[in-house]
Order: sequence, then C-alpha cells, then structure tokens
Amino acid sequence: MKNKSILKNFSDEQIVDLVIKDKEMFGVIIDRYEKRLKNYLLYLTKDKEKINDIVQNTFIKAYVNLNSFNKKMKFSSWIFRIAHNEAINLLKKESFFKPLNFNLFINLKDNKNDAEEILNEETKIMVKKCLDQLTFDYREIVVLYYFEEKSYEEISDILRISVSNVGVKLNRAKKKLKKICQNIS
Amino acid sequence: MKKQTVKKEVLRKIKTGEIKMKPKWFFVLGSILSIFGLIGSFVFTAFIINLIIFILKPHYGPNYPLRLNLILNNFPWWILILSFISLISGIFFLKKFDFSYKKNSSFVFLVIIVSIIISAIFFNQLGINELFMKKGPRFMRRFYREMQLKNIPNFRKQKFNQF
Repeated sequence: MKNKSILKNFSDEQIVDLVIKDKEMFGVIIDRYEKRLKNYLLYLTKDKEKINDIVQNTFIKAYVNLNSFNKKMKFSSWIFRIAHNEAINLLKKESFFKPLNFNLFINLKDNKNDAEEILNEETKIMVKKCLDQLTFDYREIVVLYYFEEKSYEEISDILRISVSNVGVKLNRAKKKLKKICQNIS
Repeated sequence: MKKQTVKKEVLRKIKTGEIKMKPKWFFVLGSILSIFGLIGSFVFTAFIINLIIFILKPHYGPNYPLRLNLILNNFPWWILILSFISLISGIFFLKKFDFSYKKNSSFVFLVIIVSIIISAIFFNQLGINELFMKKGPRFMRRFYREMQLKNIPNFRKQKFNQF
C-alpha cells in the first residue's frame, strides 16, 4: 500500500482507480468515509448497532459494484446513495427510523475553540433537537444540506430526484423545521 | 458489532475472497440489456396502442352505434392490460438511467406518453396492421383471424378489402 501522506492528496476517484488494481487500497476509502457515513446515519436513526451493520453493508456493496461507479459523478454522492438505499431497506424491514435520541448528538461536537464555531455548534444542536420531529425524507434532506454540506446537485444524485425537486423539498423542510423549533423553544 | 471493526471486517472479506468485485463487462452488459429493454418496452407499447387505435377506428355510416357497440363488446381487454404492463416495465428500465431523475419526472412521463401515442399513430398510418395480418408471424395472423371471427367491423373490412 502506498504511503498514507501521498494518498492524502489523491481524490476519491483516483483512489477508486487504485482499488481496481490493488484491492487492499479499499481501506483508504473506508478510512475516508466510515465516520462520515456513521454521522449521516446517526442523524437519521438511533440504533448505533444497526448503524455499524449498515455502514459495513454499504462498504461491501460499494466494493462489489465499484466497476459500475460512473466517474462523471462524485464518489461521495455514489457512496452516500448506497448508504441511503441500505438505510431505506432496513426501514422497510423493521420500521427502524424511530424518533432520535437527542443525547446521542452530545458527543458529536468537534474540538473547535472559535466562539463563532461554538455558536454554530449550539445552533446545530438546537436544530438537531428539532430534526427529531421531522419526517424521514425531510430530515434526510436537511441533514445532507446543512450537516453534510452537500450541494443541490450532490443531493439530487444521492436521493435520485431532480435538482428543482431538491430545492422544493428543502424549502418545505426548512419551513416545517422553523415551525417545530418555534414550538420547542 | 464493536466500533473500529468495520474496516477490519470488510478488508478481511476482501482478502479472503468472501466478497468479489463484479467485472466491468457485467455492468456493460446490464446497461446494454437495459437499453434494449427500454426501447423494446416502448416500441411494444406503441404497437399495442396502434392495435387499439385500429380496433376502435370509427366507421361512420349506417348502423354506426351498433358497430361501435359490437367493437366494445368484443374488445380484447387483455391487450390494454398488456400495454399497461409494457409501459410499467419501460419506466422500470428508464429509472435505471441517471438522466431520468435529473429531469422533472412529470415532464419525462408526459414526453414518454406523447411519443408512444405519436409512434402508435405513425405505425397505424404506416399500415403495419395490414402487413402483420398478411405476412406477420403466425401468432399475429391468428390474433387478427380471431378478431375477424368475432365480427369486429374493422377486421371484417380488412378481410373484404385485403384478401
């Protein structure tokens, strides 16, 4: 396996090319996405045990189908799409997406000292509390946009809906979220 | 499953060959089949709609209401169901392509329906039914003959004119 510091400069798409030649390079993909996928799923679910299973299945499916990855698309959108599908499958199986446990998010704070960042984190925690009340599809779009900082185009690729539809759904979600937050506060 | 084991577990499965990457040709073949499936489903739907237009083509003149009644009484409803199934399978294949969700879904659906109807009218004008009646595969000729036996006016007309 190549030196880790060299690999830092490689894009995900370049890593994918390397994985095709050397399967052990898939570890780099896991390093880059394991935490991000877990956080994303944590916003949507509350069962930590199941989250590990979903993330593992996501990586397995990504590896098995790596040759189907379209390089015109962003790799992060592609892998988030797989995680989304896995989560939906579980939802269908056992109505898994129960309301969130707010306490789960307490440990998610980063070690940022800047006052503005702390304020942002506080806002985020408040929003997370309100997210609990949103339905799954609205919650997911808010998480992707605000927490995962995905663009409309990327969200469109992950959820397989048109970009205009992303805008419409996000607006609706924001309105609902605002209403919920006002009620809570 | 404990934390930090996801990477180990996935890499173990990769190394032991428990999971294997599907080859590129597998996906290329899948795409080709999807394209054929998509085109085939829509052409088939257009052909069936053409058949429905052919059956329902009005023949004004004496006893028109009676003729229409006869057409509707003997109408093979299963071809309507078949066209619906074919349309659904076409949409299933369409959804496999990235462009399907990048466009407005109601717009895509409208374009599909309009193009199927236009193709069906085109098939009808082209005289494809007459061709199938005369030189089509056996099951098609049998279908047209059955329609004639049921005395559907359009088929009777074809019988007298064509044969």
